[in-house]
Amino acid sequence: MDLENKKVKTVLIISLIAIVHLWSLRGVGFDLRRLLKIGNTIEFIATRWFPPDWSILNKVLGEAIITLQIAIVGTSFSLLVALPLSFLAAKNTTPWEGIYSLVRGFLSFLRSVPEIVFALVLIPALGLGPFAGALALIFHNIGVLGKLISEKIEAADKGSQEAILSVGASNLSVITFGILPQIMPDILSETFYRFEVNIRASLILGLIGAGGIGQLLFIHFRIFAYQKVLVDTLIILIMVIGIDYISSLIRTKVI
Amino acid sequence: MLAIESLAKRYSKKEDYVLKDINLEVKQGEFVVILGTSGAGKSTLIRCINRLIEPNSGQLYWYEKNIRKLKKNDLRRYRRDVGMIFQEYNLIERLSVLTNVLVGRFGYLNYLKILLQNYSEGEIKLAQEALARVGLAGYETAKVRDLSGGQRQRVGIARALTQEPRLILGDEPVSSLDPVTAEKIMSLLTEINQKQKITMLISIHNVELAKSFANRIIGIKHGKIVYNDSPDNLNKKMLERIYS
Ligand SMILES: Nc1ncnc2c1ncn2[C@@H]1O[C@H](COP(=O)(O)OP(=O)(O)O)[C@@H](O)[C@H]1O
Ligand SMILES: [Mg+2]
Repeated sequence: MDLENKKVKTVLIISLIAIVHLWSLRGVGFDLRRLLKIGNTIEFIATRWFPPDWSILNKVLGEAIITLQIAIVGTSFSLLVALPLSFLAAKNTTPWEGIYSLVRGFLSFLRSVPEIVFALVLIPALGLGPFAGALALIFHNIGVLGKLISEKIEAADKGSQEAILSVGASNLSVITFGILPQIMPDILSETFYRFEVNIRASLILGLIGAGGIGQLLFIHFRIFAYQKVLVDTLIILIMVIGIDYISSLIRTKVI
Repeated sequence: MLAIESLAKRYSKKEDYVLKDINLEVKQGEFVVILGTSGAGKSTLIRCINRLIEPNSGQLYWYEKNIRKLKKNDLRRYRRDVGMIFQEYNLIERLSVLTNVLVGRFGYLNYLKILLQNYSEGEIKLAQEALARVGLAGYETAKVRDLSGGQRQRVGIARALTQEPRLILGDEPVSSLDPVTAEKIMSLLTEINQKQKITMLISIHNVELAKSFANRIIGIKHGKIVYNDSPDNLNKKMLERIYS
């Protein structure tokens, strides 16, 4: 009886998974015959992208540095704002319930709005360029880091907080010495991870005119300058791989 | 020095009282040990005394001053007089021994000085003397996470001493230590009690340890005091009353 039940359940689950996938494949218009044409893309790249046009290397590197700067500003400023907000958005450190709910709500709003939407909203007011891109990253990442840090604050071990309170210290001292030293490694690690994510995000923001190497890549695509696109792509690859490597090295070895 | 009158505490309206009608006096210079099974209410009672936990009713007096009425700054000033040591030591793991001991001064300093770790020479000397007192001279720059359990509790005691308290509360301060180390820490506390005239109110798991170090033993069961007398009178029958 039990065994029968289990079998029926298994069959049901497998059918459900199959149905969801068939439904999704239909939605994306998945077509094996068209997939075979991917060979055309390879041929296209082989004939039109090569040889790379190194004459623009300096410009590409300059834009890559701007992308890096967008990500740096987008990460550090969001941490700077998120850190104090998280203490308001943590149950154990908020001055009162009302502030807690308000800041929490604000943070989840920031987190749910994608960077690109912030950029689209900001560009008409601020104009095209890296400033709008960096600001979009800042807004979204305040939400992401704020939620994360406030959770760490709530999960911090109560022992040292209790001890610091017991000597007659103020709440601010308890936060500074009872909570911060405990959560600092996690905060730094997460911040470096957000930096990696922000490099990629700022590439995408470039497509809508928020500056950096992403924007350059998009422009080159639109004027069919594929030999320049190749240089853009190579530099992006090197930058992303390099930064991921350095950042994860810092996250695992130093912190 | 400390008087507790009809103290009661429950953690929520749905639950039973975990402290019921506690009446207790502690005199200057005493070494009082609290015994009781786990869940009897020892930790709750000890935390009510320095108001880490707010009682629901009853009164607390510290040299005739009503502690339950104290507001923010007065409460902080009162807490400076009452040191506390913990079963799990409750140190800041990532920081140095000296920094941890100087936490004892946090009740005296303004936030800016604390943030900048701007201590006076006198305060650093006080912390170093406390470290020497607990047998950890020379350990100033060691990291807490590299210390053994016994050494950690010594740092905890040094932190309490640095706040220059008149009473030290202990919530099972030797329960996480091996028997030999536990005895050494109890001897250290006794020495501090006798030489520095700091009153001790400490909960303990181990009856033998309690008997050999206490001037007076308080037995708690289900949130009520069921024994309050010298350790000499703690016979088998009385022990059953506490532990049955
Ligand atoms: N923060 C808390 N919230 C709810 N109940 C608690 C809390 N702390 C302790 N209790 C309960 O109060 C009773 C007494 O606990 P405690 O004072 O820790 O006893 P002891 O220290 O003697 O083991 C126990 O039943 C425990 O479950
Ligand atoms: Mg306890």
